[in-house]
Amino acid sequence: MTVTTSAAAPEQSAVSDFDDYVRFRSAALLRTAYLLTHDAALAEDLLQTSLAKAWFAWSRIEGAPTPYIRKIMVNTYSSWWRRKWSGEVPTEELPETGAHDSAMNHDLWQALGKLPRKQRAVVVLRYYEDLSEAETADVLGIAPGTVKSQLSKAISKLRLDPSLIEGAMA
Amino acid sequence: MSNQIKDVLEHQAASVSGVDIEQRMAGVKAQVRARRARRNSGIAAGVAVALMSFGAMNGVPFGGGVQAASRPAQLAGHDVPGTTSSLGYGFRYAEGKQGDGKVTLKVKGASTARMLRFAADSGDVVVMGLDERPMVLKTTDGFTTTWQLLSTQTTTVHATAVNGGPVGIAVYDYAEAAPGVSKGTVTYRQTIANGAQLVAAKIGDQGETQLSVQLPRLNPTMTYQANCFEMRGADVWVTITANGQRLSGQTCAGKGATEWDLGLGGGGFRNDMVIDEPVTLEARLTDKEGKPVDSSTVRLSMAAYNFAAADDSVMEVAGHVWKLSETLKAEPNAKTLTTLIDSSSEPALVVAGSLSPSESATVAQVVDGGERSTFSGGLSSTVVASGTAKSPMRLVYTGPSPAKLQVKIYRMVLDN
Repeated sequence: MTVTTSAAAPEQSAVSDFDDYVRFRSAALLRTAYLLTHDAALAEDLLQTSLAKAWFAWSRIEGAPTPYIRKIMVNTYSSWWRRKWSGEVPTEELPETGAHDSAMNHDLWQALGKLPRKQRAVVVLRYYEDLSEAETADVLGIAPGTVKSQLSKAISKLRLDPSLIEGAMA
Repeated sequence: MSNQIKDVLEHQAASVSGVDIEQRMAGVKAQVRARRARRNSGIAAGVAVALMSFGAMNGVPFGGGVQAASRPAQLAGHDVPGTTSSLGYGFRYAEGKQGDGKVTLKVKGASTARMLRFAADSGDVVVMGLDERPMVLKTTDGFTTTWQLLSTQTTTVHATAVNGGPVGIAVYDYAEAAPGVSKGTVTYRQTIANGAQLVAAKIGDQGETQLSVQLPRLNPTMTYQANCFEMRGADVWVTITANGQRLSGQTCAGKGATEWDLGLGGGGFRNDMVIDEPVTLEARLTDKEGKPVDSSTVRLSMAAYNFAAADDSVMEVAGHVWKLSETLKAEPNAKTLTTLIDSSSEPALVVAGSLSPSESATVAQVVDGGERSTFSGGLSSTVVASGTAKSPMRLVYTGPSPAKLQVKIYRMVLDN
């Protein structure tokens, strides 16, 4: 995936391609956005913002657009997102059912929501998008070694999360 | 821990649906206008966003992009949904029409499926054009009942309100692929309604004559398939191999341009082979003898599904999920099987035939006094339209080996 440096808006023929892309592929990106934001409305907002940014580079994207847009999305989430949604707080909703597994999964989802943004992005890219360390590093603009350490810290945090320890003991 | 994280992420990701695609498109375009305005005029961002959002709401066109079809708020006294879904695919409103007592709409052909919805001001709707016979669709709650139309030819659809009064048809175009492996408008779905799971898939580009996927292993719970489409008259075969060993060959002849849901039913060849090590499954265009050939007009794709957790009592037909409700078996060796299919209130999916091993056996399937179809060996499925209180069905077996006639009746799972 490379992007050349022209600043032109998409050609007319590329516009319908962009529209098709939004129609056909944006649902998959929304799922990643939701895993990053933990909020459906914020995920939709993040997705639309990222797609709007991608529109200006659309005719210059070579290869599949998804990696490029995913990169925009993760970086938007990590930076501008912090400013816009600094009030984000994980909810403390009770599990919907009393099933042990379901409660554990709920607790883990809540614990994931407490991770710092960068760590949460690493977890989502590695475990949901199945990206390699090198690919994750490319998306986040950090060194592969940093991906490894961020993931390690994230796992340690999750293991020490009080709700997960309590859940495991229950 | 990592597996648990993966499970939670996948579960949570599957739970989010987002807004209507057209709403999303409008939101993106509003943001593009705002960004463009900020670049060009230096207008304060907040003011620009407000103005551009107002423009989007009022239908100001966006730089040549595709505009959403104008959707009426109501037809036949019922709200018209902007989108609909079927088997994981998304569809968006394309056109609609209302009539007094009856309405006719010519739906243009397309290479992908469309979904149709019907509603009457009161009571049910009799639909003609989607099946060989009139079909009664329950529409008491408005545009709730969908039916899939897959045809490259223009189809004339008639809808009549049983109780008279306003009646409407709404047509929805294909808009979004189901989760799975997609390219363009063709998709191998990740999950089939019966629970079968996609193991691996690849969809080639035109002119690509050879594809391969990696499987962790191969066992009899798995099926494999290769598809050829966009044929344009090419006369080629597809040969499939596993680690170089030939599994099957099939002709591409007869394949049309309407290949879009490649994973329908998770179909394909049942595999008898066990290879308990990583497998390279390869599909390649060949001639009848298996000799490699090139073709610039054929697109090739391939996939493998795992049926280990599949539920045999579930089928997918006409964009709906159907669940087995009844199985009738004739006495061993009986040459005929007669039954009544109750379709007074809902359509029935009937799978009938003989499980005899003879390939040459012929089974005539007779419905409502007329011969519905005649087929050789195995089981064949058909939808019996609703509206006739009891549809007599008679199977007549003419094969040489002992008959094992069977009728399975499925009922539609109301998923809309």
